[in-house]
Amino acid sequence: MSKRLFFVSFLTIAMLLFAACGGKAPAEEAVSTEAADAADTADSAVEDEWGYITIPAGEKVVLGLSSALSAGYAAYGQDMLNGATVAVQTFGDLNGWEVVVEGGDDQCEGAPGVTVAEQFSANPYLVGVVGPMCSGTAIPAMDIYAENHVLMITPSSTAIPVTAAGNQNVFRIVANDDLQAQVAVDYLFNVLGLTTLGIVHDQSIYGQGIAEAVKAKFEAAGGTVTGLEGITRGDTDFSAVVSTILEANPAAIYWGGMDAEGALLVNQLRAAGFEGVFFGPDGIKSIPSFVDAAGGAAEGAYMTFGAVGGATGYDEFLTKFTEQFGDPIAYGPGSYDAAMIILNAAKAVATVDSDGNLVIPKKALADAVRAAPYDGITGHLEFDENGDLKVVSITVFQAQGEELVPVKVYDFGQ
Amino acid sequence: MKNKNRLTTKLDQRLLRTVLPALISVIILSIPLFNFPQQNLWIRIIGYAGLYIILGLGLLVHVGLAGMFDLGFAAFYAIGAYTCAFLASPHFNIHLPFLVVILIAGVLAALVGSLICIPVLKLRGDYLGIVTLGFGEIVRMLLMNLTDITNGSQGIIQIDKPIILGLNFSNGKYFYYFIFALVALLLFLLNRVINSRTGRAWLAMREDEDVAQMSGIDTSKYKILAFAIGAFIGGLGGAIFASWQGSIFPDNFNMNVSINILCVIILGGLGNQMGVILGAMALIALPDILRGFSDYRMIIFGLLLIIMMILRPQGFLPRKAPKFEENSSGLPDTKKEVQS
Amino acid sequence: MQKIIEQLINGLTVGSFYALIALGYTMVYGVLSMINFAHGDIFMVGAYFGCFTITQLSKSGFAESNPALAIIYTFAAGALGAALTGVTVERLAYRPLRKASRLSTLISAIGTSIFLEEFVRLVPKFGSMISSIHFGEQYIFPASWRSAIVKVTQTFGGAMVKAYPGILGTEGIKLGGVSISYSRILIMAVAIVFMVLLYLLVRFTKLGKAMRAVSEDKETASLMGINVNRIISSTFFIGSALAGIAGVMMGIFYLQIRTTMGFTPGIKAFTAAVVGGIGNIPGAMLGGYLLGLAEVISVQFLPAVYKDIVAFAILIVMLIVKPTGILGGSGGKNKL
Repeated sequence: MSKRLFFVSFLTIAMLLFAACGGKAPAEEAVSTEAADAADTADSAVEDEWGYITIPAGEKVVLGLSSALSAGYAAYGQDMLNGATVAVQTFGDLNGWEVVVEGGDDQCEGAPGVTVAEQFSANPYLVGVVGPMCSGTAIPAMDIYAENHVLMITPSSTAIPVTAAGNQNVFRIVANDDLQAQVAVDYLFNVLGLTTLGIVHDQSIYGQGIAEAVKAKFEAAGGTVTGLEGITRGDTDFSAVVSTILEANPAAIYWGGMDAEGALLVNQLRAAGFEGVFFGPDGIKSIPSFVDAAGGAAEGAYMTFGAVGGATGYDEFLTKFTEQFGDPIAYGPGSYDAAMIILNAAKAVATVDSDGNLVIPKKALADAVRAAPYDGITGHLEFDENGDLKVVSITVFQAQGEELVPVKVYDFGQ
Repeated sequence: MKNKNRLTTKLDQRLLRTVLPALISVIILSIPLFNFPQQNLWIRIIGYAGLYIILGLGLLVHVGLAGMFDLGFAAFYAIGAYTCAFLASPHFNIHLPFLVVILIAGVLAALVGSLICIPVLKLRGDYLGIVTLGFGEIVRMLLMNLTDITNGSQGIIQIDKPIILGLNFSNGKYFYYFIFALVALLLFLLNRVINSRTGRAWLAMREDEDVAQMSGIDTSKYKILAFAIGAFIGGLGGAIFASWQGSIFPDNFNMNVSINILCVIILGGLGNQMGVILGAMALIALPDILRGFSDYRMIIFGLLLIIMMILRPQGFLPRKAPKFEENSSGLPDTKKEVQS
Repeated sequence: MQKIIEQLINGLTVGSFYALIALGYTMVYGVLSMINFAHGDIFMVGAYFGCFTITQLSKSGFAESNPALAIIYTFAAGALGAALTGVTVERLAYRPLRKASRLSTLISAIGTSIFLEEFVRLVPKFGSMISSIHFGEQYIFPASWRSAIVKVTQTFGGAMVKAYPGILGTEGIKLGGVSISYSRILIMAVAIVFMVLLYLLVRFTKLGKAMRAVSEDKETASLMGINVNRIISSTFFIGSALAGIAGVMMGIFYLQIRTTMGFTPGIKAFTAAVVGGIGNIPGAMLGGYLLGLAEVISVQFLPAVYKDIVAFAILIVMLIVKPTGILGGSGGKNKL
């Protein structure tokens, strides 16, 4: 009986699926009507193949921000939201239209990030999106933004595939994992002259990605990687990993991961008697959550980060930011720059049509971002064909007391 | 007083069992038909809830029908998703048609499900829960660490969009239709299974495993069957998820997913297929509906979960008492034992 | 050899955390047959209460002059904070569901878990919201209160990782080449002291007797004149206090806490409780230490990334061999 039922159900599943999908074939009316509408409104400009954002008088221009606003990574997501908020305050109005920031909580995960992407894409007054914050969110969400021709600039998704797909609407204003790894290896191998390295990562798309890149580059440079170990995010006791990785007595440890686990790791490494160099990526560049949380063990630790602080306008930004939200944590300044790029480009291409609507052509908007270099508070930002920065500068910082001191700046032409 | 109570609960029940499902079906079907501004968003939200209905139905077979506590259902979901990613992406450069892929995904998940079930046949209750929890975590960690096969934490990207009968699923609407067609089919088939000998065997097992065994039911066989069917459905869900999202990472299948699916079926009223629909809508769509509360979204969601449970402790649609029990409901338990 | 001993001590330390948290799981399970998924978050709340206390104490300089007293106060604050949270949660979220299926309570517990995590994260926001309540131009609190509210809530919670002031340092004693830090000794000692106290309480006091009676059969117990609600509240109080103590230990030992810190130890401790035989108090202790040891032993043979796989595999094999946990528990007889 049950066997027959199984067989029959297999058959019916297959058949019904064919029937269901063959029968219902909704035409893509939404897209075509949208295009027609856009053609009507665009009486002055050249026709834009991606369509237009049309904002009636009295409505507000929306700047989307996709980051983790609840649960574990909320501190970073909130930081990005604050950065974008300061940008909108500084920028003022867009040709007379008020600009507001709308935060979308993607929880640093795939599925909620895709929903946020749909939500933003469905908003007719949305000019562009800052984010997503995490690579694991950006990769699936990117497809939705590309499909709807929504401009997206991420200040923090460092994984290579984000820009590798070559989407014309996707930009990134942060060095990818490869470059950060290159800087780390150069500093460890050539500047500090260390030849043995142990690597620990957090098995995340971000941490493991950068750790594997460091391993490959360190070995290519002629160094020896004495061990590559993984820990689990959310764990607190790494002493087993610590004793394994210290067995080979490496001169330095590279950590691929975030601040919380990084602080625990450096603390436990020092407690186990490790006296070498501790080096990490941008994920640990934070005073309260890395240096303070490590309780003194982080003293002398190195980390890489996109150049912040030297560029023009940073001090004014910092004043405005700290007045309202306290110190920026990590990607607040990057988020500010991403928002500024979107708003400046929108200002450059926006027109007011005969009905008094603000009209922003989508393709022209993305092209404007690509064409015009922007001098932001994180440095000179100029994009290549794929949406990555042409010139990226990465700074190596060292934790000294209660401060992160820049010790070397690298400039890359990508 | 008592009569009135019974009447209202009966009305209540009828409302919940007939009007509500009908209403929901109408809403579900009408979303893609009419054009409105946030259509794609709602297709995503409700479609995603639909995916959880499929997963919920799978877990319902384990927990609700066969009474086997499963805290690791995400494992079957993951197996389905990775099967799809292997067989329809540039990762191994294999590009099989989606209908073949989804069937293989289901069968593979069912196979793993029955294999994991065999050694733990003797375990009951929460002990089974822990074993399945461990199994779910082991699967996820293997996906993370067998880097040569699964690409580890970097996941698999650029998974093919299905093409069925010449229809390219680049539009979310097709996934939406596909998911709800599958939901309808699964509801129909599960209903058939529940009213078959298998369903009655599961019921007996769920009520009292020892008595069921003594009455000549081969509990091992029916347990494995339940696990295989549930896992099969989970595998189907995984394949849909992988092709819809287009990229998958081991973190997509963490323990929170297993717990969420479990919540869906408990919230719906354990043991009722229609309840799963309500549970999925409430649990999966609610966080997105609450997006307007920005920062307070999740804390409100947590509160609502508690309040919903206090207001309807048995879930939205409690399990119907089986027919042959109604006659003997007034009899004390001892008599029933004597009868059997 | 030296390394193996160090690893064993390490396993015992981690096991102490698991065991203390597992006790709460198993006690609640004993009286209510429910899986208290929010238990890991009560552990987190305890850690935050402790963090607040010790931060204040070290700011005022008290912690430096009287470290022993400061540690005692911190533990007391953590235990009390967690215990009150636990009792409140039971009263508001679990008691209305006592007659419902035990899986319904599970949902309520998951809701509680989300609520607690988000609440601690949002405490500073609530603080600034409360301090800025006003009618027209008139704030309802005086200026000094308002700044105090903001300050207190910001010290207490928030989204950022919180640093515990280090009071014990990394010094320790050396025993034949094996060094053990004072904080490790403190943690193992505290865990053992409280486990012994709990065992004595359950075994030899009137309250313990009543708790055992309630876990045997609630209805009969109430017929015997036991106030079941009060016993259940006491159980939550004690179980949560133990979790709070574990939370403070976590902060003192690892020097940092965050709102999501409860999840992983919570799951591991639950696993430990089941392996020991859920509902069984010595079983929970044994399960906790076994899990801690299983984790460190696996690292000796396989890469560290397989640590959790091995730990879970060992547990699964153990349960297959002994289907109701090592010391035998009640978890198998409950229907869903």
